[in-house]
Amino acid sequence: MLDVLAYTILGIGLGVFTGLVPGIHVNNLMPLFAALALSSSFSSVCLAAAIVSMSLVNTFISYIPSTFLGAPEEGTELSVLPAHRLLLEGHGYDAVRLTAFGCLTSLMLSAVLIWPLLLLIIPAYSIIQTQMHWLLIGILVTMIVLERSKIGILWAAMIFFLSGFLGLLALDTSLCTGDVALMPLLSGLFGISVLLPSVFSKSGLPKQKIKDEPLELRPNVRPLCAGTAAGILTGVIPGVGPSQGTVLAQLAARSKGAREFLVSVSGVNTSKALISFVALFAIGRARSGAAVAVGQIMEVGLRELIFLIGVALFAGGIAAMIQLHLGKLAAKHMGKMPYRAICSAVIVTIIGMTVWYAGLVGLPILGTATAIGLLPAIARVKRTFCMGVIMLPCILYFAGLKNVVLSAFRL
Amino acid sequence: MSERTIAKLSLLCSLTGLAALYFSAVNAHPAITAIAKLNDDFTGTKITISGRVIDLRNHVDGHLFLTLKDDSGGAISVPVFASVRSQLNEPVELLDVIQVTGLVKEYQNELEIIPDKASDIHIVHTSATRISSLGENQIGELVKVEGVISDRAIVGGGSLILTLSDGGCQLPVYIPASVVKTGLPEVHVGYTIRVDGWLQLYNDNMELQIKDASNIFIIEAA
Repeated sequence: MLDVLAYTILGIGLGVFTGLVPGIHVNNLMPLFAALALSSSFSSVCLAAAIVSMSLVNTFISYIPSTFLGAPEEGTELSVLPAHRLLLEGHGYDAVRLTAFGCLTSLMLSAVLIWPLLLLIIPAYSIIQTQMHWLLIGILVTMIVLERSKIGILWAAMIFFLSGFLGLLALDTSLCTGDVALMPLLSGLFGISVLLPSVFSKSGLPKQKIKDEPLELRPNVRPLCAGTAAGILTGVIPGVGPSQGTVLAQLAARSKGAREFLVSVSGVNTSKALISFVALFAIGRARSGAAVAVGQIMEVGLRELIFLIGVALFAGGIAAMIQLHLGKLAAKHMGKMPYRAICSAVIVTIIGMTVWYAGLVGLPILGTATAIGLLPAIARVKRTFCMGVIMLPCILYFAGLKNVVLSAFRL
Repeated sequence: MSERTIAKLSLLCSLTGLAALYFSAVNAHPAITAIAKLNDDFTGTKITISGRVIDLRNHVDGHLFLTLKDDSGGAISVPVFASVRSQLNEPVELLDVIQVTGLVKEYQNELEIIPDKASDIHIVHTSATRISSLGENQIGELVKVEGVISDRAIVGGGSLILTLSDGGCQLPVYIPASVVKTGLPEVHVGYTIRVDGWLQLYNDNMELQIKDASNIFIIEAA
């Protein structure tokens, strides 16, 4: 028992590390765990506990760099703009509190809902999977139409297709492998493009207000439930990430404010992380890098699933406390720091990480993604349309048209 | 700088970047995927593999069914449909090393890679092994040999035994009647041929057995 606890704490530590350092993802450490599993001296149960806690804690902590540095990871990209907006208004800690609340309550809600949902998910899985492209097209059309003005609709469609074509080029051709390309794509579309205006702006970061009064539950119930449900859906359906889940949650909750949005997006991310382990048991498929590693280490039956959920809840509780503590620290000290210099340093770090992670080919991908990422703010349309980078390849994949399109472009 | 200028610049950079990436992607050489790494997650994706042809079957409709094995130890089926096969400039032989780019599909619970044009297949022919270098430690293995037919005998049931000579060494090649009947090319004493087959022991002597008529290639007729 003590060894499981020790490995869970190790996982929490690693989750804090991967969450805090932009560009380092949980998946980067998975080969290490797979190698450790091959060694007989490491218990598979302990390693699984470490992986689950690392994966869950990462989803909490990654909101700190995405809020204070504008540096997204997979799953937090849509949170950057609203969190950054709150930061520029002096409410950076509020953004962290909201995401901690969204992550933790969504984790608990997902754990409670697992059993009834399993009865629903397993039969619905095959139906949803075959109709996924229609669901995504429906979401896209609704998003575009909601722009209302003709110019807005035109810009939205153009940004979607530009991002989508960039996604196809980077994720589905021989330029580089898909998982490597995600980092420059997301960092350009949702990171550097958000930070650049701050670098050129003369105003610094305002003094951050640190509120400690409890969050109101009522206005957050709807985005929380929608986020959790969307996270569960994306945790089961292949090829649909937290960002598409967030779009779904946004539509379901009809949330317009940045605060509700943050609760929703964090809920999607954490419930997806938990459900990806449940999917191992329910449908025998791994839906995340961490779930793949757990699936390789151990056979997930009912007993193992209950154990993994227990570890996730324990790690989630601690992660929320760490997130709030680190968030408060960051909020206290960020105002005193030269914000423009920090933004420039983050941009340079992202460029360096891109070269290290994706090679030189990552640079044109990052540059193009940044140029496209600047367009929504200029055209005054939602940045969500940049999610075409993943949505368009997904729609084509589920419609069975991806290879037809790639062949038509001689790719 | 006005917002309009920034918008124009951003759009120009986006389009230029996309164009540059597009031309790079069109001319990029795909990375080779290890066959042993392939699993259900690859279904529907386009990948490139490189491996040795360890099995080759012809279909009556002109399709060619290959099995490739690479250094990772994995093996996978590669169906080359008649429309693609007819565009190939050279024949594929057993033990050739070929690089195939194609779509991963699942057929009868097995993964296979389907090339959709001849340019997706690159063939590197391997050279034949000298008969003198064959040893009993290779029994059961697939080998490729070349030589002159020094004897040709029809045995019970219509099977054929050719004796191949190469540098003073001889090797009997056993062609079962079932293969003879499927359109074996006319071969006679004095012909130089190349044969791909499985080395086996018969009455304590090594011989080569071929399993398909396409495993014999005439290099020079007498």
